[in-house]
Amino acid sequence: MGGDASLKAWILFFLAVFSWPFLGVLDIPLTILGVPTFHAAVFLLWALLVYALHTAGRRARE
Amino acid sequence: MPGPLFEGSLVLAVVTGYLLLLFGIGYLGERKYDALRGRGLDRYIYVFSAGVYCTSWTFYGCIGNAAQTGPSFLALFIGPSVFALSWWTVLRKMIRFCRTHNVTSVPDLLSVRYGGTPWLGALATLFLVIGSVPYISLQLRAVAVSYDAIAGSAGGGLAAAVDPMLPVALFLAAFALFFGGRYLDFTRPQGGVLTAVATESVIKLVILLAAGMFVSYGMFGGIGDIYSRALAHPEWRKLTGLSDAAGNGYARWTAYFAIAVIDVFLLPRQFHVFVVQNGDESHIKTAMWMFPLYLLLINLFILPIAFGGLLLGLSAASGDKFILAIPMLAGNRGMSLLVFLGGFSAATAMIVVSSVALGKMVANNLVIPAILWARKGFHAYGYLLAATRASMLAVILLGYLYAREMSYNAALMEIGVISFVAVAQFGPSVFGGLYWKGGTAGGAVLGICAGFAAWFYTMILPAAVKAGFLDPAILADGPFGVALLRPTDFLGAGIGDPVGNAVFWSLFLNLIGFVAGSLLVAPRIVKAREEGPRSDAPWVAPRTGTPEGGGHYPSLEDIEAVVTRYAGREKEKEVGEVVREIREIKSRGETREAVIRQMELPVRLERILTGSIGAIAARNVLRDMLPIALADARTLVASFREMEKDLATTRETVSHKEEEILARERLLASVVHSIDDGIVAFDAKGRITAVNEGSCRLFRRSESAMIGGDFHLLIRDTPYREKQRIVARATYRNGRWRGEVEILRGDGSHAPGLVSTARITDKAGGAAGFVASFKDLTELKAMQNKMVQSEKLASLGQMAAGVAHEIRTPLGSIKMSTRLLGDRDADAVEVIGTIREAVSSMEVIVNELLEYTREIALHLDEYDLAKITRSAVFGLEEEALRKGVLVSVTAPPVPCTALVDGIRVKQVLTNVVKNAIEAAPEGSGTVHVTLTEREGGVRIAVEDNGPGMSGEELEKVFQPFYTSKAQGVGLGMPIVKRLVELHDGEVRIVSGGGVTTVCVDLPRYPFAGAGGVR
Repeated sequence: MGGDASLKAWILFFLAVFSWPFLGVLDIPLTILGVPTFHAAVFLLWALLVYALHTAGRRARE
Repeated sequence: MPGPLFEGSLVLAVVTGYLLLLFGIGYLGERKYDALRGRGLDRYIYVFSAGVYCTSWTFYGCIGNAAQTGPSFLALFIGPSVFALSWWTVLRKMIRFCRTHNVTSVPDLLSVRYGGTPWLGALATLFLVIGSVPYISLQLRAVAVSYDAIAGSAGGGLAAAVDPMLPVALFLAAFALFFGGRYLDFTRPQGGVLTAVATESVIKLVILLAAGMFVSYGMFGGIGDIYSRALAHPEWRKLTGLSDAAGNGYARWTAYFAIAVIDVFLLPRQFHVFVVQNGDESHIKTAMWMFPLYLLLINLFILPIAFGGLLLGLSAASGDKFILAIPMLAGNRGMSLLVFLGGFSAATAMIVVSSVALGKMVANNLVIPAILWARKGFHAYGYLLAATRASMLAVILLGYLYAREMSYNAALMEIGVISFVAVAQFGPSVFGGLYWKGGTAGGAVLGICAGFAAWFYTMILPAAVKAGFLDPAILADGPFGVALLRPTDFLGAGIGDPVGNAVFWSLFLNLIGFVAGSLLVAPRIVKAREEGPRSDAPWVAPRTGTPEGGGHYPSLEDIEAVVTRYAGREKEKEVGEVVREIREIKSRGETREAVIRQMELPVRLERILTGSIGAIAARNVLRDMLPIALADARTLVASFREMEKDLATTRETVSHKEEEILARERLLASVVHSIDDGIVAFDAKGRITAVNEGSCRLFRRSESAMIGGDFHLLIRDTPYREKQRIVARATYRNGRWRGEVEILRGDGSHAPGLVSTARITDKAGGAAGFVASFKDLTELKAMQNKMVQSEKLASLGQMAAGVAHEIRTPLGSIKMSTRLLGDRDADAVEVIGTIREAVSSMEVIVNELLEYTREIALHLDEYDLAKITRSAVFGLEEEALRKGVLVSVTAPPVPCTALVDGIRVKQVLTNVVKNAIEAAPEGSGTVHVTLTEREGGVRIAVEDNGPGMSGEELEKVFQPFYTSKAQGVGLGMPIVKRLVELHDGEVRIVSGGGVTTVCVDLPRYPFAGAGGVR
């Protein structure tokens, strides 16, 4: 898969992840290390997104 | 809310000190910006100054929002983070467009992109000001509210008499004017503003994190403790997610997400920092991950602080003040003051950048066009700069007045969202304009108007009802009792959330308006010339004595003077260069070229002026100033006709050349992909950007596994520094590096390889990376070893042949002498017999040596191999009988004809069968010779039941002078091998299970076409 195609795939993936219904799946009355699942998952996914952005920035071609 | 902790005068003194520090940083930033840029720090200043996205709205408002409605506000920060993946494409495109046209604001962008109408820019400015001033007032209000909280509304002393917002507003206005209003040209880097704002971004982030740590670990037992206590309260449990119906739910999340994606570029302050002040496109690569990281960090403790405040018994309605109230409750004066400063820095950064950006926008799109239109003589640069500064000041004062007079006590978040949705209305026309060629000014105006109408109806009306200006029945039953028209549930769409409802309808109608307007309203061609001179056109003195020049045809000097009058000394050099260029062309007598350049002049000058006075004013200034003289017009028409002819020919040639180039490119690509060597392209940092198929085979890795990987991935056992040196040399020095390396494959194996590199340069001739060719040297190395071995053997053979030759003659003499001695002395016959036997045995060795080393010429002819075999076996029958070994031959009934040298083949078989007889056990030995026909040849297998051969023996049996026999030179089998190979055949030995088989494979017709003698 080429660079542009993989970038589009990443955007679609994170768009899906940060939208209903996926977020609704995480919206459950459970905790991870004392933090509600929703909050913990949103920040973890956000951190993953930052990592993906860092990689995309490194690979960005002129 | 706890009582004030400080005297008002003390807080004012701290604020003054902070502002002076900020001024100092701005001053240093302005003076040392080039030095900062030289050290590469402008990249980080760019990223952190974009942190102005997080204002006091984030610092205070988001905490209040979290305390009341949960985590939906996070979408305002996650939205831009997700779409940051596309920034390298989208933001770069926007920056390039703006840089090409010297665009300094969103209205300028719309004016330049859609052209034609000056009203579009003015309309956009008006809407942006309407949408943004409340946001500036929000910042001032946040300063006032936090000041009240920390020092009390009657702070005492001098401070009691002063509204804290006023001195702050005045100072920030001075700051904005000093650093942002220094020049009319807004495309120049504003080092002072950027450095100060970047510093403030760092300050607010550090303070917010410190406050979060203080609340989480100073007031509670950590984040887990806060959440576990909060979850014990059923009414707060719903704040941990979005699914509760009473909360804002996913509709608001989606709405926030959508508007934030647009606003991160189009908010005036964001556009100014991200687009206008971008000094280097590569900074986007850093911003696209560092900015989202900044957003993540600044939001890390928002929810814990919100829950902390609730747990400490503070009212959710005063959530905006939690971050300040909590340290005050704990009596921590230091942290309270620090938090106050954090909020203050968040507010001031926004006010400075917004007032600069909005002020310039107002000046370029409203004030300067109005001044030029009125023709009050305010043409000069100084007046325009003053007008720009006045606009900046007006924006801040407008914000101040709005904040002061605002009776509607809305939460910070609410005001912010209203502004956010307003700015998002420019999304369709800006992005549509950049990506859709069909977008027109009519579409943009229609879209923006429809969007703003919907925004007004669905956001402002409900806010007005909430503030008590309108009857609440409008919201409950709809205007005139028509339920379908309820502003918060327009057309009964059932979106549920009022913000979601407003965002959906405003953007939907905006988009429909933009597309429909673009498709239905044809762009109007402005017939300026027919309309006659516009009232805002500058007056140019009539030229006299110019043949066919026209009454108002300005000279280049006139043009230079007029444009410089608007753009000032800032652009004097740039304008001068353009004019000088035309003058030089004219002086060289290139009339046609000069006229063409002169025709380009308005476009070039418009670009120069746009950066200073905006697109509308620039277009108006130049519209009537640059008519063309009749003589020049004639030249131009003639030129166009010639050009038309040239173009027709050129188009054909270009098309042909293009095809040729494409064919060559395809050929080159297929060559590169098909060659066995690995061709790998690297960028300047040594990262793989492209590979050919040969590379995948050589490195045993897939293309995707290699792309993006390091140079170090492909090479084994070379120190890191050495690899870095190779990359640096290949990229930056002479570009050439050639050397042997150990290639590292994907499966962990390695092989010797040769690397050659060549430098790749970019358009400007700078280092863009290098391309490396990797060659596998495994076979070459093996061949080299073999050759070295052969050379050694050849020299050994030559020496042996020499020695043998020299020994042969004296041996003959000895043999002769012993015979003579035997005849004379009968007593010495026994001794002489022993000597003669030894001499004969030496002769055998010498002959074999000579046989092995001498050149052999084959005399090929058709022979029946079965006959040769039987003849060879027959010659050894006596020896076999003597040893008691049974020798048998099996051959096909038909002749096995082959083109061979019969004598040599017989020699081979005699040697092999003799060895087999010698190896077979005495008395019970068997040797079986089998001839079988194979495809294209014959196999002669000699099988014996001797003791067999070990692996080491099998390996060495064909090496010269190796023998396992007590008597033997060790040249028999090497001679066999040599003779068989001379016949283009092969000899192999298999031993195991008590049987040893020597297989001699001979082709039926060796060396087809090579002649009979070899």
